[in-house]
Amino acid sequence: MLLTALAPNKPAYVDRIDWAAMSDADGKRLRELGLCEGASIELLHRAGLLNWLLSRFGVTRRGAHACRVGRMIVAMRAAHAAAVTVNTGPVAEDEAGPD
Amino acid sequence: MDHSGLIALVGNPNAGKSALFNALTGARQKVGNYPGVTVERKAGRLALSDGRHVDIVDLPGTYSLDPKSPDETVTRNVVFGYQEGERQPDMLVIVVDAANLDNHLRFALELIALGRPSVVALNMVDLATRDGLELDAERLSHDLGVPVIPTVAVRRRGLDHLRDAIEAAVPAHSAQRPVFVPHAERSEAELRREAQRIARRAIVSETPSRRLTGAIDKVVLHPVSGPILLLALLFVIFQAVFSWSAAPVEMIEGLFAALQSGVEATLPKGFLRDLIVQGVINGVGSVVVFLPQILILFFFILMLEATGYMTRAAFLMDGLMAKVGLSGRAFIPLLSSFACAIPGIMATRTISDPKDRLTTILIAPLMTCSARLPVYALIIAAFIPDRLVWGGIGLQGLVLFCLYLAGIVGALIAAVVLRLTVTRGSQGSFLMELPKYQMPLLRDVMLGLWQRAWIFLRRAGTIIFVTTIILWVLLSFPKPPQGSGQSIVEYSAAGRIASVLEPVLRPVGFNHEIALALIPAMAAREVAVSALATANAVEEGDDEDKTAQTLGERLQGRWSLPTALAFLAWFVFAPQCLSTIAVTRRETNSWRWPAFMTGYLFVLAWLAAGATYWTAISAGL
Repeated sequence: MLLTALAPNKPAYVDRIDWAAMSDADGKRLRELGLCEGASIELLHRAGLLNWLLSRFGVTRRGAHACRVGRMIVAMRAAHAAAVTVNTGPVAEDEAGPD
Repeated sequence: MDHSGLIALVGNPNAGKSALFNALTGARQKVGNYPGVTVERKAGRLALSDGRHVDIVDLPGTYSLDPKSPDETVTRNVVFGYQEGERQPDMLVIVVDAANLDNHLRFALELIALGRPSVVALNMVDLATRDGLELDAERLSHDLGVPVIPTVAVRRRGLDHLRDAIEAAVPAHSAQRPVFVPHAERSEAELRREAQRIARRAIVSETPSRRLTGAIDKVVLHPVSGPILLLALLFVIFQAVFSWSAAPVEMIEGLFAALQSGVEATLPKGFLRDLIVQGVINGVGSVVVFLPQILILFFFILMLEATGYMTRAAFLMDGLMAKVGLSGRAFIPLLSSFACAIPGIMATRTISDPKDRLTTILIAPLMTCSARLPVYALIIAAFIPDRLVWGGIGLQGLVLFCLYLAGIVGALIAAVVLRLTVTRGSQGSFLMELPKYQMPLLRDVMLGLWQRAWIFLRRAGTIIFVTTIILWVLLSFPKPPQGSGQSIVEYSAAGRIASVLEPVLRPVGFNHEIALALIPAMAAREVAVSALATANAVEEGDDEDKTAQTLGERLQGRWSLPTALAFLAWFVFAPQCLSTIAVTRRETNSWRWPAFMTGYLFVLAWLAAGATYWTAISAGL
């Protein structure tokens, strides 16, 4: 599922990132912030009072997302979050590989 | 004194570099700018136990040697030896956050690969422990191949060991090195994988999350309680700016009044005395009097930054900012602009997207800075009745609030229009780390305040000092022929310039004395008040409140209500501050944008004043 659809406080890991959906510079900054395939991720907060109110009535609007990526909290807009596919199943082989 | 070299403190944002820099150098710091850019250069000196002294420079935080914003470019350039006005560092102190090891090690590996003498400061180990992380510094040092010293900069822990490690690593003699030519050795992915491997080996034990930060964020970032808390904080800050500053402002006013009396008692009547009293003391004093308000606002801004809240405010505001084509990051410079547009414009250097940054710079002067307050206070007190409306709200306070609001709304509308026209381009992004919460160290906050106070006072002593002298001369010369009965000010060079401006300003309800007041107010908005006082030939006493009252009463008799309201509307938009124009020139590295900014703000000011005047006239006011 997409990160934008992930329920808050549900641990997941990054399955795939559509790097073509963002600029090279943004992609590089996201990787520098630890967001890469295999990283553990958890949606913590979605910003926006209006979005929150509308969500009570089933209308989905998306503001900025605050996510835990590894041990860091990273804020990104919904457009970037929508480029991240996450998986809540068992964690895949860690990208870092064995020691 | 033997200067043995230059050490650069380098690392990711939020690694605690500045706290470590403050702990190592104490108050022995010099704050300036790198030539050609407004990126702050913070340098200090460290005494080593072998008698050597080394200079330390605190570089802006960055994630890699591939920069994304102007301040990150400075870090890259200094490390490589490209930066004008800076020696190439002899060694690097690489600061990493112990709780974010895998992320910060990636950049550390990139720096270590440069082959310079390096020491890693494993900072904030106390917070890592608080978050359930136990690390093996020796293992880390072995894997990185450089000394690793655990530190807690804010508690001054590990500093002696760090100093010893620096002493052992820094070359005995500062050598001239060739400029570094970077070459790609390892890919980004390789570095990341190695960082993760090394971090995993260094972690003895860990629990999964940051409990304290998570608990606070549940309230601070909540879509309902978050904005309420932010609004409440802003309310408290602005209340404090005005209520806490009353006593120190009075003290500064008293100090300048005493200085004025002292000079009057010492010097004989004449040109020199008038120049010092009316020009220098009055002019510089009218600006220095805002120091308390500026410091109070900066105190809150520094506290919010040090606790980690400021980035949360940016997160909460990103939705609104995105609607006008800006990034949530723009909120921080715009908030600073309520104190003064100059630090606000300087703070835009952290915005990576050039169009976002330029738009933020161009709208920063629309935030109501403290220099507008004396103008607002004078006109509101004179023309707006002191009565309650709508069940107990003071009308005067309400008008003041509306003027602040008009500035904010004007800025948001201007941002939309600019983003659709001159700063058109793809929507910038908002990617930001939200650091963990920390208890701010009062000493560091006070040091930051002192540095800002010094920058402000230095400006008052240079630019404003010279400008006020020039204005005083323009207002005082040439003198009218004796017995002609003409006003000195009307006859002066400034009076004649006002006559040229008057035809442009008359349609929006401004008279000759307003035209005259607007000329000196070009230097700084608050000068309009003292210029009006001079133009009205009011005998200025030692008490400025009394002067303002007298001036207000006189203005009531000479101006209509529509003219007064138009004057207020003018100051919501007018770009009347030479320092702001100068810093915009330096920040954008061209005259094109400050010229554009001045032009569009003058047009806005004229239209706003006109719309106010014409509406008030047609409403029969």
